[in-house]
Amino acid sequence: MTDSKAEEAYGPGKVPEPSAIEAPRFSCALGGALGTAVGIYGVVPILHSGAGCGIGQLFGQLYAGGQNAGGPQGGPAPPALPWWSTMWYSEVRRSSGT
Amino acid sequence: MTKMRSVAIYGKGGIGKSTTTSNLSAALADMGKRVIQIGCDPKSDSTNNLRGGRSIPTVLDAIRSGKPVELDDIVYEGFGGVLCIEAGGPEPGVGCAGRGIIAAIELLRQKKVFEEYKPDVVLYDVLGDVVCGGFSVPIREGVAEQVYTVTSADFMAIYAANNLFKGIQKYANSGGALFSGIIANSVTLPVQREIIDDFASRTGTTIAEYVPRSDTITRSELLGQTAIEYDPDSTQAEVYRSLARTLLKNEERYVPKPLEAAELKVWAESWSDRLLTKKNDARSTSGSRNIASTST
Amino acid sequence: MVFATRDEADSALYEKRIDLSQATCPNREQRANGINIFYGKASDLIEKARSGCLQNHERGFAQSSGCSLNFYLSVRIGTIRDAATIFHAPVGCSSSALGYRELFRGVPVELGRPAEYDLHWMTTNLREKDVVYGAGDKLKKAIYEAQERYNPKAIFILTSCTTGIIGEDIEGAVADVQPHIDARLVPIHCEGVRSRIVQTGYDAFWHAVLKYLVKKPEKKQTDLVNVASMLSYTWQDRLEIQRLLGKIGLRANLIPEFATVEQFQQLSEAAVTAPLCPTYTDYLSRGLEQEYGVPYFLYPSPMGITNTDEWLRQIGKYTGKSDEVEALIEEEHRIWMPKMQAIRSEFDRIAAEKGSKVSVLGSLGQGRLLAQMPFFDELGLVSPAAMSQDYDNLILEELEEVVSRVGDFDLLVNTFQAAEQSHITTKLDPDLTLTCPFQGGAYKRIKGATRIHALRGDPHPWSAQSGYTGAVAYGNFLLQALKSRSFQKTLKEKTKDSYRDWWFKQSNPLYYMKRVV
Repeated sequence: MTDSKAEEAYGPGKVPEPSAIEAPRFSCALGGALGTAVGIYGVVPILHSGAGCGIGQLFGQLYAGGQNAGGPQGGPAPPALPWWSTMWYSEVRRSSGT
Repeated sequence: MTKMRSVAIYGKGGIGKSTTTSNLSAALADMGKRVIQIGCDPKSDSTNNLRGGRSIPTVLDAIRSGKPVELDDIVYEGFGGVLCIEAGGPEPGVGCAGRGIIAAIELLRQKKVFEEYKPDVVLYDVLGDVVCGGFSVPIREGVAEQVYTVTSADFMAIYAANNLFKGIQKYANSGGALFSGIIANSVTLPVQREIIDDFASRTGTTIAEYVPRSDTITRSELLGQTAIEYDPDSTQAEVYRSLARTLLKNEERYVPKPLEAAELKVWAESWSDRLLTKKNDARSTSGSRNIASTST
Repeated sequence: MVFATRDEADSALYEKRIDLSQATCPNREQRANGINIFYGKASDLIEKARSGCLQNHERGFAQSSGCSLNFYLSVRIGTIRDAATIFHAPVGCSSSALGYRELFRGVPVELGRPAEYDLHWMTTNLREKDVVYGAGDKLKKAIYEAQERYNPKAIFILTSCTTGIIGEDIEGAVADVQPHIDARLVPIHCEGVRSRIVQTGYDAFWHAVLKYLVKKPEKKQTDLVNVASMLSYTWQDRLEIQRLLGKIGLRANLIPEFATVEQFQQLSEAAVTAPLCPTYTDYLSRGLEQEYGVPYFLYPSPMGITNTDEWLRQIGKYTGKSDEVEALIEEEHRIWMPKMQAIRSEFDRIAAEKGSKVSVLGSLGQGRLLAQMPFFDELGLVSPAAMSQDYDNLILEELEEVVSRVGDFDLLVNTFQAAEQSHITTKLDPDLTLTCPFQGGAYKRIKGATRIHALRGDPHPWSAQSGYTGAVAYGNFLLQALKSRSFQKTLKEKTKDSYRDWWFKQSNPLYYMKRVV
């Protein structure tokens, strides 16, 4: 496969190997941990994350895995730390010890 | 406290903490101690003066290479048998150095570096502007037990030290490292000593050592050496030996009381006033007398 | 804040001007004082918003909601024909894009879904090393790879929390690569941490579309109507809009699902931009008018008979088809009004039996809040309360309008906070509660419960909500949901409640709100 455009930019024979992934059918470490926690009855996972991680995994692992849902403690029900506000630079600087 | 002494040394960039730390390592080694010095600054030049001015490959570089990391890749021997490790980090303007420190220290733990080499003293040389979570990792539980800070009488350096105290306070209740002393650097004039002493008393802290400016250091650094190596009988070398002895004996660990921003400003201004008055007095009595830089 | 004139007050309420010289839009908090926590009367909210006292507060306890990136941005951009998407993120951020089959496969090809809808999406899969050293190179390599594999007309680049925190230079990478590739690069700044209001993601998307895709109009297509729709509008809604506009000789430029890049480029040539949801389309509409003079209107949404009439009339006005529109309205009324009447009569009958109007509690987006309150009124339902996922000043005037038309009501503003919603549902105990499919809304109650909306991938006629067929379909849907209770009964008998009794005894669903003194 000739990377003609990339060769133009980088120089022939100097195009580095790409390391992106195309449409991965898997998720990240947090996704795995959340999926496991949600699968155990009686466990309420608390996500120390941005606001979207919960629903992102709900969509990708549960809904996309055959239209499953999270159950009473899964899905969008897990508490996520109050997501970082508009002044988000300062929020990220402060350690969120709440 | 454990038998192995693990100490974190923080200080504002350019204040002399790498110089101090490497001289301290050399002094300790000179006394027969086994020392590991870990540089936690993205510039990765902390241990250069123990290696004839040559830099060593960093931990993050080793992780980046993708191959399994061996201790030989990251631990290098320097002057006096001091073992040198550099955490490394990204180049300016990209990435996240704080995250880099976290990753590097995590790797050292996993590789059981301390079990392997069984050092008497471990020194972490850390960037003083604790700008994000990553740079506070050496203070956190399980890494260093004692913290020293290098500061001069310049306001900016003291400001950084004060910030450090806030960081220590933060982790104090969760097993974090506690404070053990100020290393007052570049202290040549009496007034500089006074300023730092005053700051120490205001924040409930102690002074570990006063280190004067010295030509010996300038010369030794040009050769990529510590004073201990370059001129072992010099007064400067003796200062560092004294500091080393203090470090070994010092069991004190306490929570400092940082000043609030407004308080700190008022304190700095009061010193400015005093110095300007002195300056004016001096001018009026003798010719031009150079009161050393006390920039605010 | 006190203003001398109404105009002054208006201009301070939200930013009207779109600044395409910036890399991205301002977030909703800045642009329109968006909030997502409030409980009280709608009139109270209006007063606070007008006087500038409306403040967003923290929640001591917050449940997972959505972020600008994966609150449906990821799944929808993926459907854009002849385009590719690159998530500049760790691998987990893009996992919501995996739902595309479940979401869209249900639509039969006969109804117009493209048979081949391979999604082209990649992720740069940020690892620890990339966080430490920066990932600009990785992004560039991914772009070249996308160009090579898919030869797309456009490549969308979505940012994430991670790239935001380490300060990745997206524009720099884009500037480096664009001269070397054919595809148009469209960077969208939608980090999750950017904003509490998920609608910022939409604004960011439109900003990128306006800035990088929309072309200067070559000609005016006087029969083209831009219609931007949410994921919550079904396939039948899409068909209904095409049907209605087709009858008066107009074409709908439906974006973004399953649109082509060319459709985006032609946005500037349309005769008018019509809304399905006003705040969703706001940024795009303003931008198109500001840059290319495409007129727009934001109200009403075509929900319910009255609103649909007005929506068509507005379109007629801008396309010079007012006469045709009147004829169309008359024709449609003849078919659908009797059916609406039948539904209305049934609701009235139930109301008479029970002694008061049927009460409905809906959990809605801002746009639906405005459109559905009058619609419920049309059906003979009463809405003592409503839930909205967020509120910002873009809808202030229209909200005032709605309150004056249907009366005051309780309003709970929150984004997917299931605990708060179950609290207010239990307390107000409406005859029918409507919940968003993803909001953890399996309420244990005996009275009616059903969903407020379906999704784009639902092809059933009964799921429609827009236009005339939608008005009848949804009215019927609500009627059925009100009458059939077996699901709720079984659910209540067989399963436990997720929340303790203690929670329901609290007086305020916003118990966990941290008030700022």
